[in-house]
Formats: sequence, C-alpha cells, structure tokens
Amino acid sequence: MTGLAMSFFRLAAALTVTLAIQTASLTRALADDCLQDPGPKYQPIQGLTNGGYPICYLQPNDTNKAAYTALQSRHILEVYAQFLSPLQLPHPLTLVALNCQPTFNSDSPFYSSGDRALHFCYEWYNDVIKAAPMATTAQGVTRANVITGMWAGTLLHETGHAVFDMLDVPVFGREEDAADQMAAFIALQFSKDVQRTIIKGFAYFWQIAAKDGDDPPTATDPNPLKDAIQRCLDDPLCAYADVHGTASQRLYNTLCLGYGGDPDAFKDFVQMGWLPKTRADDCGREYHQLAFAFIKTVLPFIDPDMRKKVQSTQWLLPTEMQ
Amino acid sequence: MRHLIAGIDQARRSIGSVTKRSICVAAPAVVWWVMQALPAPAQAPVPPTNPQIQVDYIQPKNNSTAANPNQFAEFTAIYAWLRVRRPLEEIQKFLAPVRLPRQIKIQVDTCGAESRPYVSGNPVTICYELIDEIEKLAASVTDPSLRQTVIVGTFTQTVLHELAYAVFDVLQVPIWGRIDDAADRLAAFVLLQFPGDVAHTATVGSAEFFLLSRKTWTGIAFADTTSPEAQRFYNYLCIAYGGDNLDFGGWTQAPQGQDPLLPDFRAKQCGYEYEQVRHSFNLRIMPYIDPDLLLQVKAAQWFLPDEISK
Repeated sequence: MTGLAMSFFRLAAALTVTLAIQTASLTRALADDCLQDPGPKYQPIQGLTNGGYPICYLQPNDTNKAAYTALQSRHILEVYAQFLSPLQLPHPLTLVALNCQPTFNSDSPFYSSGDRALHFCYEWYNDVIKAAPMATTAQGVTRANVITGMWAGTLLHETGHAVFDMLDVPVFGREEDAADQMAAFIALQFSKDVQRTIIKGFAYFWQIAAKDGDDPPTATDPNPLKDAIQRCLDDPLCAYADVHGTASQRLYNTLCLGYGGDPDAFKDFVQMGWLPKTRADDCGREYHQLAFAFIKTVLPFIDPDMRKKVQSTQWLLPTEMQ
Repeated sequence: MRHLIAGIDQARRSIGSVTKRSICVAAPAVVWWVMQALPAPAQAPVPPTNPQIQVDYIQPKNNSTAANPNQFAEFTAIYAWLRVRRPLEEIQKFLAPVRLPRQIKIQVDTCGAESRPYVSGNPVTICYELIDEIEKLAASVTDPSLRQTVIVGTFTQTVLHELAYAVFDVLQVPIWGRIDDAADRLAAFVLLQFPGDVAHTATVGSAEFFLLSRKTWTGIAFADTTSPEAQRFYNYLCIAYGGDNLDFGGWTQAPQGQDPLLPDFRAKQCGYEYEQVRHSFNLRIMPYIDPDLLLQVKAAQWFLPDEISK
C-alpha cells in the first residue's frame, strides 16, 4: 500500500471520532493564528462574493513551507471560496490550510462537521506533487492533469461531505462514493478541457493506487502486523470494511461518470480499454441518476446567476490542463 | 442468538476454503424454508395484500449446460414448490403499507445469470440462478439452524434489495452513491425495523451468504456496478450494529488477542451510517407509508424459520 493513497482514504474512518474534538479547538484558535496575506493581494472576481466561506492559512512547519508558499501565492483558498460562492449554505464553511501531521495523523484534506471546516493539508500538496508522473502516460495523462485533477477532485470530494452535512441531503448509498460523485459531477459542468483534466487526474491517481497494492489483498498476510487497522487492511476480508470503495472501484466510478456525462468527450476511455465496455454501457444511467439527485437535493441551494458566472470563468490555467 | 454469531465466526474462519459440492435437490432447501417459515401470523391480524404489487412465478426455461446438466431439474423443483408456498405473496403483505403511485411486478424467472438488472417499467426479477446459488452455498453450512437462517435471510434480503430499485424508481427517490449499495442499505434498514428475529435472520443470513461467496475480486472485476460480497457483508453488519448495538454488539467484541468481526474503526461509524439511512428514509420514503398498515405489519411475524422462533 502506498503511503499516499493510504493517507487519502484509509485512515479517514479511524480519524472520525477524534476529529470533532480536535477541530473544535482548532477553530477557536483560527481567528488569532491565521497568517496575514504577504501580498500581492488577491484581486477577487467581481460578482462572486459570498461571505459564507471564510479562509485561513495557518503557519506551516518547516517541511510544509514550500507547500504553503505554493498555495498562498496562488491564493488557492481565496479562489476556491469564490468558486463555491453560488452555493448558499446555511452556515459558514471555513476553508483552512494547515499542517495535518502529526495532529490528525493523516495527509489528506478532510471535512469536519464539528467545526464546519474544510481542512487543506499542506502535506497533501506535497504528496500530489510526488505522485504526479513526470511524463505523459499511455492514457494521455499529463503531470499537470494529475496535480490539478487530484487537487480539484479532492477538494470537491470533501466539499461534497460538507454539502451532505449542512444541507441534510438524503444519502441512501455509501457517502464516500457519493462524495466522489459530487466531485465528478461538478467537474463535468465545466468546459471539456476542465472536465478531462479533473476526471483524468482523479482517475489516474486511483489507477496508480490500485497498481501499488491499495486494492484489498486476495491472500492472508502470513505475518500480520501489530497495528489493528493495518492488520485489518492487509486481511482479504477485513480490508473491505473500509467506508471507502477500493482504489479500482473509485477509478472505474470516476471514468464511468465522465463517459456517462459526455460520451463524446470521453469516448477514448472506452476505445483504449481504460473503461470496460461492460461498465460503459451503464454509465449514461449512472450519470442521469446522479444528475437527478443533484437537481433534487442541491441545485435549489445554488444561486443561478452566480452559477452561470462561475461556469463561464476560467478557473484552471491552460498549462494546468495540458 | 449466540449460536448465530458463533456461526458467523465459524464461517469467517473458513472463508476461501469452501469447496464446491454437488447437490442433488429433491426438495430444495428454499422450499423447505418456505414450508416451515411462512405460516400466517398467528395472533396479529393479517395485513392486506398491497394491490400495487403484482407477483408471478415463471416456469423455468431449460438452459442446462454440460457444466450444469441438472440445472433445469433443480429450477423446476424450485418452481414447483414456489407455486405451492407462494413467498412473493408474503412480500405483497409485508409491503402493504407502501403507497405506490403505480404498479410494480415482481417475478421469479430464468435469467442466464444470478441477477437481471432492473429497467424502469419492467418487472423486478428474482432469478432461479440466484435461488439455486443460495441453496448450494447454504448447503456447505454444517449447522442446520444457521443453514436455514442463510436461506431465509438471503432470500428475504434479495427480494427487498431487488424491490428497492423499483421503489426508488416509482417514488422518484434521489440516489447519492452507488444504487446497488443504496438498495442494500434500504433493505437492511427496513428489516431492522422488525422484531429481533426478523432482523437477525435477514442480517445474519445475508452476511453469511456473502461470506460464503467464492468470487475473488481483482483488477477489472472492480468495474462492476455491484459491490464485492465482502463489502456488502460489512455494509449489512454496520447498518445492523448502528441501528441496534445491543443485539449486535457481539460483533465488536473479541477474545484477547483476536480481532472482532466488525473492526473498531468501522464500528465507530455505524451509528452515523444507520442514522443517515434513517434520515433519508424519513425524508423520501416515509411520506408514502401508511401509518396504520405499518403498525399492522410490524405487529405480525415474518420470515421466521421455526427453529429460531422456538
């Protein structure tokens, strides 16, 4: 199992119980501890103002200084707050960039209902940079695709959890799959370039995770580990107890929603065998199921004029989509 | 209920070592269950049949192959006894409180596979192939009580799971997450609303069935829209434990040096998962439930193998 993938989806379950307590104290500290913008100041996009998304960059440790600089200089939180601005939530959703290690024992971003905050881990930025391929892959996935797609996909996934929580959305299926669906669906509401960047980047990550052994094992480890969680994840049965789908399931779910949402834009996924034909045949139905759920449960909370502006705004630089 | 839990532990230890058996089905086990398990509720008034649910048992087709020459005979035996005992009619009564805006038909048919995907407007189908598989896997369970529970629980869960697709469709329920998992969670939730034996039979029986599955999941198999049996196993356990951590609390306990059946990190989430389904049900399905008929159905006894009800 790769440390990267494990950090993203394996430990989330173990963290949940302690998260609310830890993040509650973190929120209390936010107002005083947020770093001042060193400048140049962010120039907000006109017409996309929503005070419901306060932001905060917390002091990075030495390991995470470069990540902080990269994120802050691009005003990632400020941009993401504007991206979310059409979404009218009943409570503020705080966007926090922070060191997640060692406090949360995880590198991956997460939503916490205890303080209604999205936590952007500096460590995750480092992990994504490391995971991105140096050369374009056989599926045409570029380094920029992975970095951008993973960042965007992960943030949209965690935003999905926040939306389900704050809007009391009925979730009959597994919430982690639902959050992946949210990420893919939102990505698919933008231009083809943006769609493909996020879907390909997100899918590639899960493909690599599966290849690196993140799918459940098929045989019992003869030398089980002492740590109970790790021992479980190395067991051919217990590994399926995770609330997340397997890496391969998440790969195919993501590809499927892309193809289902726009068969023309993603037909190469099927042609090159990345998405099996047997699954592809069902993807239109899966996308329509998702679109129906979004329209019924989330769309009423989206400002239509601001949504149009967000959809017509260039959020990813051309270089990030190559 | 201790023997049921012990049975699961036993099956868990043997997962992967279940061997194929040649079964000569003179009187299919599912039929034996139907004979034993479907007496009319003894004391409570019998709920009426839901007029919006139609049922049918279609005569099996002869799709026997060289690999499975007895299949047609097995299906025919299942068909004959289903026609006598009529378990789908039991489901018609069980679902009496659901006010459906249009009719749903549920049928048993030969599918050429263990399942036939639901298509809006078409019948919900329970495949002879799956009933046959339930019997064959259950036959490997040595404990007769547990074997009966596997058959009863899995059949009941299968029917509710398949019907969930049609209910989602007819009631226009928005589904977040994979629909097959949603159907599992709805089935598990519904069964948990009934007295202990129903919940135990359905949950333990289904869970055992998933454990007994011999399918190995790797690579492209994960592209399937259905989740791996082991994943479904934990989903069922989690909804049950989340909804009733007293009756099902044994799953989170283990002797010193051993791991519990339901690992701690998942068990801690199960209350949340159960509440999520309950919240979703109350928002989107409860408005279609007749409260008086619901009470009648809850007061009746359902799907009880005799050995458990004694």
